[in-house]
Amino acid sequence: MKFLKQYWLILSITLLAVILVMVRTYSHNFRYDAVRWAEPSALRSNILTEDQIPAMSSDILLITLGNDTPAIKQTQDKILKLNPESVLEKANLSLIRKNKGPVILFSDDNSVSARVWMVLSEMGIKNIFILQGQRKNELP
Amino acid sequence: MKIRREFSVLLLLLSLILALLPLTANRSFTAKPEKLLPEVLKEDVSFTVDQVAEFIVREDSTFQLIDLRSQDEFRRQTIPGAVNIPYPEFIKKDPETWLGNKNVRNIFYTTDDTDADYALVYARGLGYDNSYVMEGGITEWITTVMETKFTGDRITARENALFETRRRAGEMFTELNSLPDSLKTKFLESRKFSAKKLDGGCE
Repeated sequence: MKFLKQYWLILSITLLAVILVMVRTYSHNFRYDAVRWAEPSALRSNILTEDQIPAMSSDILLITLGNDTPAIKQTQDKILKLNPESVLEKANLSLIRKNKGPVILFSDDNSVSARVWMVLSEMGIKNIFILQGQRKNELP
Repeated sequence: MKIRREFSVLLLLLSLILALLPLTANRSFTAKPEKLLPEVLKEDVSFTVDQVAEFIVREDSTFQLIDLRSQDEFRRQTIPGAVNIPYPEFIKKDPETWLGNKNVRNIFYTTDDTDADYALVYARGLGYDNSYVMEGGITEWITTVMETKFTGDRITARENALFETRRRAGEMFTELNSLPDSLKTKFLESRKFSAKKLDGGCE
């Protein structure tokens, strides 16, 4: 008690600094160093084809963006159907962050999955991929 | 004892200041995710190939076409007025060099869309709201502009204007891409982004 009284100022400033650092580190804003998080897109290591999925670890979370149904074999553990705009809703983001395995984005419009991928990746979400879909202009 | 205590307070105050400093490190996204995502999913961040063709035909100086394909691909087929910044280079270098002029709308394109979409989010995330994509990339350009055909007996004034724009843009594209290799190389070299030129200094 005596210690607390003696150092109350130092302790309160330390506590405030720690809280600020924690909030800024773990808030849902973008992470530091945009180049690092965007790099998989330049290396193409964030693109998956349907054939690569069975070889991946379990706990796959497949997110289908929009109303399109993926034309893939639905053998994944978890499938989440979302509007692209609602990906950042608290509950959805929490599911994505808590998923232990890879998160795979799918949309028939590759533009949508590419844009969502970049946003999520820059938020510090690792192990996130795009399932290359059939392009709109290739559809019969 | 008193000095030690004062020093501790000073250090802690310093740490507090550091914690409060904004993250203004170069190339970290400045936009808020919940603002950026809906923004990049809107249709108004895209231009159609017809709109781009019109900019080219009008020689509109308020837009800049940025080709994110490799140099080889750029040499093979180039849309008139485009500059080449391969995508890996685009994300690694300081974008201020390319996107810094806020009076110009920067329109990204690739073969299809993916790299242009990444570049769009990347640029807008860094605060360059003057960034757009050309829908469908050069694939769509070839299909819509180069292979345009009119079939039928009657044509409305609007259709005629659109057809004329496509025809003129197509001609410009063909003229540029059918230049002899030596001339084309010279021309394309001049279309490479040069930081020196943007600085306004003499070489």
